[in-house]
Amino acid sequence: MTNAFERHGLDHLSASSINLFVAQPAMWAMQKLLGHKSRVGAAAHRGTAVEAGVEMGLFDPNLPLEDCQEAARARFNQLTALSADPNVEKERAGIASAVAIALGELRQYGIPGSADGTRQHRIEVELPGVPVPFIGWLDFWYPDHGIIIDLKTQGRLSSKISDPHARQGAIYHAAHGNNEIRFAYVTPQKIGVYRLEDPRTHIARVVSIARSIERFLSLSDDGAELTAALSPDLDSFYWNDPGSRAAAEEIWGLAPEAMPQA
Amino acid sequence: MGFMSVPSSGGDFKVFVAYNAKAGRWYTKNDGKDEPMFEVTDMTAVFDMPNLETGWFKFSSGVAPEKVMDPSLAEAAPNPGTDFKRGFQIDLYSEKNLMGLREFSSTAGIVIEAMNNLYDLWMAAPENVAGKLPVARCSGVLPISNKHGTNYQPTFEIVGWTDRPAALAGNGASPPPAAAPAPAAPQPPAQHMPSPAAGGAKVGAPVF
Repeated sequence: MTNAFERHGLDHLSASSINLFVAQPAMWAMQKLLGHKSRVGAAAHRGTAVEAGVEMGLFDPNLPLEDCQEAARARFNQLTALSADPNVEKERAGIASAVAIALGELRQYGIPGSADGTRQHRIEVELPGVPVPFIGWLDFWYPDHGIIIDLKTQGRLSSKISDPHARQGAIYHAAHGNNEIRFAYVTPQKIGVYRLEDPRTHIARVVSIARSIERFLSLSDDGAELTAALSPDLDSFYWNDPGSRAAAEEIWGLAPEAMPQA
Repeated sequence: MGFMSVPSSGGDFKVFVAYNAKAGRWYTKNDGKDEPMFEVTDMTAVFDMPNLETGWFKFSSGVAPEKVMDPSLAEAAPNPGTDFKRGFQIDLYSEKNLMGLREFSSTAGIVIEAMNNLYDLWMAAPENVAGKLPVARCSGVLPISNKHGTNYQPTFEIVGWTDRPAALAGNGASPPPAAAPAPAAPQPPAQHMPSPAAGGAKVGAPVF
């Protein structure tokens, strides 16, 4: 007998998936059960771009900073070429500075380890009580130090690791339990590198969320019916993407004029 | 928040504790003329948050700062002139770490930001409503690079609560603000972890 995940075509979970289920269950259902993908905004592209520049500079420590910054800007330009997000220029303005600050801190760790010619490390871990594995990718792994670092870009520096990030780190820790998990939060002005304390308490929450998803999926084998049982929070930035809002209208029958603008 | 402050100018009769943002270190001195400065290695003290004051400060080398304090946190005093900057001052107390009562003031943006974060933690804590004073610790520093070069921002966390010490009694126990308590105690800010090359905590090498 197949489990509820498999009956809905879900063969794995991820940190982003369980965090989305917690934050926006209607969007989770729309994406995972009905296959509607959402486009992300300029802030997310900024993160991808900064990470590209930082990765380049970490794996080639002699590469001039300007080259890393240019690579990050080029990546951002590529990702936002067709974006209508009004924040594109604002996000672009902070990229070079964030790359410089991140490299200033993280180059002190040395060159990250690589595996099979790829710079990011795939992890797959099974957690007790969850019938499908968790899959993820490590940003920067330093085997010599026993440290895994995940880079997060922000507009304003966090003073602590957020709960969703702690869950992500706990999954990494479950996969590489003898490594310390750190999150490097970088803004255009500063950086804070924080250690994930007591990952086991967060992994219990990960399992709890996964079981909630499983119970939800067990209610019906009809993904459309499950999705329709939820209701989207259209005020949230998660729904800024016009495509997602249009999909919401299709699924939940919301008249456009009745939909609040995010 | 409703404490009153008499605008003052010049004259500084309290021994101070200073934060050097370039070095990320704290310094103070014993009370007395020509006493040398020494480093405060454990910056943990009672912070007299209800009597925190803001105002205009003019720091000059070798002399006491000139200052014009705001009537209240909600009302800024007029700018007294050039070279004055916006800042804050607050009394700290620790017999063990500071040798008693010390005054801490700063006009540095990164220090003000750090104090704002501590202020928010204090405001949100239920202990504040009960009239307790926070025992705060500088748990670390964050490197910040900008046009001024690299400076280090202190990170404060509240590590305990206490009744107002006698040494701070002269400030008067201002009534706590009527802020609604947060539903749960706030999490202390995380501490910046330096890289292994910078002397960070030794982490065991992986076994696989």
